Amino acid sequence: MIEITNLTKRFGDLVAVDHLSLSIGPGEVFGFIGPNGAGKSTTMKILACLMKPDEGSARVDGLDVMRDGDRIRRILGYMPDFLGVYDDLTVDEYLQFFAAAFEIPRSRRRTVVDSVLELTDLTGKRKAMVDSLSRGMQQRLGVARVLIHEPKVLLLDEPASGLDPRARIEMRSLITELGRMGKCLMVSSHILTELGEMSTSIGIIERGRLLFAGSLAEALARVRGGERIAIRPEGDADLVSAAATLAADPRVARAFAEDGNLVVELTPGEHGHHFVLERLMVSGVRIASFAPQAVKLEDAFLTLTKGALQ
Amino acid sequence: MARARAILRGLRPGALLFGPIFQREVVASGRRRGTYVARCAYAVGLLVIVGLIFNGMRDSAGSYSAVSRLQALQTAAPQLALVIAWFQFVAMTLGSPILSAGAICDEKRARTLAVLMTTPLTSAQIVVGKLASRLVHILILSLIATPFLLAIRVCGGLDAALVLGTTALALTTAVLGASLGLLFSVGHARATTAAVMGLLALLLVQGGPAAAEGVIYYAVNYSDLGAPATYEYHKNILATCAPATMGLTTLGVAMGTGAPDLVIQADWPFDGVEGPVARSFGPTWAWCSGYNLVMAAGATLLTIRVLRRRMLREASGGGAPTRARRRRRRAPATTAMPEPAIHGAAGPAASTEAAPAAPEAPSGAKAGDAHDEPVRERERQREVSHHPVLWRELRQSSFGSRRAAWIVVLVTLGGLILLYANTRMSDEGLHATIAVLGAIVAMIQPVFLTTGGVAGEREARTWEVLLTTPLSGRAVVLGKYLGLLRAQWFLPSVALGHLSVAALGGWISWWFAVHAALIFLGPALFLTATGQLFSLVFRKAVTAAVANLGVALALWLGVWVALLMGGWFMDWTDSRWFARFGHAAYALNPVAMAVSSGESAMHPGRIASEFTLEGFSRVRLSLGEFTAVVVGVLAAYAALGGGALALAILGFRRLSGRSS
Repeated sequence: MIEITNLTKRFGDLVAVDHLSLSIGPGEVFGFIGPNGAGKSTTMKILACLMKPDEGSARVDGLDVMRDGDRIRRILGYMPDFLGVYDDLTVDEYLQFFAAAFEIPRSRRRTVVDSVLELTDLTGKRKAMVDSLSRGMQQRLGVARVLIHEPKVLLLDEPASGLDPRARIEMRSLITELGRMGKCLMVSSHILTELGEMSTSIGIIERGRLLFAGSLAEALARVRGGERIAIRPEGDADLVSAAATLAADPRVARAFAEDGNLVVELTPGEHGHHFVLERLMVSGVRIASFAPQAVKLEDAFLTLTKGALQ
Repeated sequence: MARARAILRGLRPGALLFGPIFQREVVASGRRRGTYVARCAYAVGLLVIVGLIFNGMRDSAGSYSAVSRLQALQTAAPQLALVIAWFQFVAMTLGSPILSAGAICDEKRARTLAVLMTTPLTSAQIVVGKLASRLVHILILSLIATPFLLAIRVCGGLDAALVLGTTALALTTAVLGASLGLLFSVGHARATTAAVMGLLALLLVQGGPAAAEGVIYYAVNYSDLGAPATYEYHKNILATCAPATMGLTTLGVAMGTGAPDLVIQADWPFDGVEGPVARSFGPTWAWCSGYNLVMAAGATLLTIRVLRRRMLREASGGGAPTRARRRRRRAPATTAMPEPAIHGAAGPAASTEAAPAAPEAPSGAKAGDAHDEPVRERERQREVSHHPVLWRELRQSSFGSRRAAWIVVLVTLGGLILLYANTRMSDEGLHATIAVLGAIVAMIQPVFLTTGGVAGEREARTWEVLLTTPLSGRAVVLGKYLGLLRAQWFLPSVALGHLSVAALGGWISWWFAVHAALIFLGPALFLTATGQLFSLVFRKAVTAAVANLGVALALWLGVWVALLMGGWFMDWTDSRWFARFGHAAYALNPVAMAVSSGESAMHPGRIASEFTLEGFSRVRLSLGEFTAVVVGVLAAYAALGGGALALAILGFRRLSGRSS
């Protein structure tokens, strides 16, 4: 659905997007991660035909952003990071406005507006003036707006920004649902835990360069080698000797005592945890708690961007 | 004690004038290309005027001896200096509210006002810092013109006191204009609106007292009611009007009497002289400058107060005074507000202070979405047409807000009542005045009110969203154009309504009303189109408005200057084409055409071959010929407007930001 090849965009001396290449398929929820100014929004704007690239090409459903803007706009929904709204319209009129802009026949407009209102849980706000809605509701309205013409591709720039926890959870489930519906989604966010929960693939961008693009499993696999287990012993166990016992195992990279806990770092690869328990039992250590620390997207991000952030 | 010390520390001139706000503004404006473009345009304008007049003087004295040429130069030097002084005065007066109108609007748009609130900066430091940074620009513009004025003294221009006087008048009027622009910048979201309001307020502050005195004079001396009375117009009131003071100074120089003094007639003895005496209180320009500075100080204090109130309101969790909040404030605490069309989601009671426990909105409103504003609703739902941009534009309020609508309607009604109370329908001056006012409005409205079309969407951040729809450039540009054209209906309609009533009553010819309608329409068609084009080209609505003002000035002033230049440099004055161009330039001016139409079409049956078209020579036209000229000018305006629209549509992709 989205094919980007060697995409480059410069603003004077600043290279906002530097030879970026990636591909996103249908039904994929692509989490676009990167710090502020990394080039996420610029890439999205180029895909939405709002900015010309200096080099490279970008295609949406096989259509070139430089030539087929009119056709791309009909299959693409773009939600910018800051949603400006027409303050003189009601929610219903706002959605009707965009339905008319997308040339949806008047006979179908009511049904379409009703269905997106239903999907975004805004049916009760149909008559509300857009400018009087809260930020969360305006964000939901933004999502309703991008869905009005049933686009195949959705570009959502920081959709959860400024939302409270409940609205975030709702937004996350909405995005997951859209992915299940077979739409191709590109979602940018700073909140990595959220992206981790809803993305099927991720791309990490830093200073315009794509440092990683692939499935979430691939990203996590890269850092899985550093899996840690925190063990809290019961009573006055000899943590130093227990650590020495564990460190002798070839599957353990490092074992050490830290704040009364025994911390075990495993070597890369898939390892069961049973051998750690067995060795500790043999050493006579009674275990109060045993907490494998799951690899998170944050770990993947930090590992993958290590050395590139300077 | 500590608080008093803090206040005093904040009031130090250094902290007030040259604080971080001032430094930031000066640095930021120094990086803007527009700053230098404006200064260069000002200097080039001055040079062109000096060159034109100097060349004209040289030509007129060319055939005489060197002594005669020198004498001619010495005779004309004061006039040249006055022209420069007037140029300086007009440019700085018109430019100052525009320059300062964006000061707070930009902060609000960029959402940096809230950030400023988190610093120890006071509202006084913010306002004075912003004003001071604008005054630096004004001072630089003044420094560009003053050397010209002083250099002309070599040839016998104005004496130093007059140079000082005219510069002081220009500077202080600009300070007043900048203060008023800043005042409206706090209350308005858009810089263009703030600039227009600033200019209107400047007009009121400058012309109000003299006009009020004029109304009293007229009412007492020319009223049909009561016994005849004599009321002397107190000319000293003109010291509150900078253009009038400039005019008096010009007159004084022309008559060789110098700048006029402020004179007070008194019945009590001065210096031992009995009886009524006239006592001079120094030059009028000094008083006028003082008045300007006092009013500017008042406007600045008011701005500080308004900004402080706004900052406190935002600090207490509120934002701009929305309609809902205003309504809630006005409502009695225990009474449910009757809601006409728009009310809170939880029903009318939700709008009152007494109903904090009102249930949350029925659905869609989540706990996390709670905010202190009640959600407003509109009961009557409208159906969007197939042309959404046009549909929305046609439903936009012509006045921006209900309050603004009331103000415009009341001011218009007040003006009409004043006119009707003092004149009769048979009075030719009444109809001519209304036609001329209508023409002036038709010229001014499209200059400023049409540049917010696209720039306004950019400022509201709705432009990108609109561009991601398949709407074509033509649909967007034409939709906005027609909507903006409609928004200008009110004041010209009032003038045309009056003329129609007068024609129905037989006081004027119907031709006058028809001509007026056609004359009003031309500039609106053209300048709305150029406004739309500039709105696409420039990111800021106020820049687009300045560019549109430039087009208007070029059309109504530049054409004359170009003709004069052509006449002088190319020796065209005797050419038949020169006269024709002169007539064309005259015909393009709606006010001039309204006057011409009014002069002859005032009375039914007295219209044939009475129309005159001024230019460099006078020509008399029949009714048919004059109507053809009016229609031709309208066609020319429409064609020019069509050209501007075509440019906007053809260049839409490039100008809007779309890549394809």
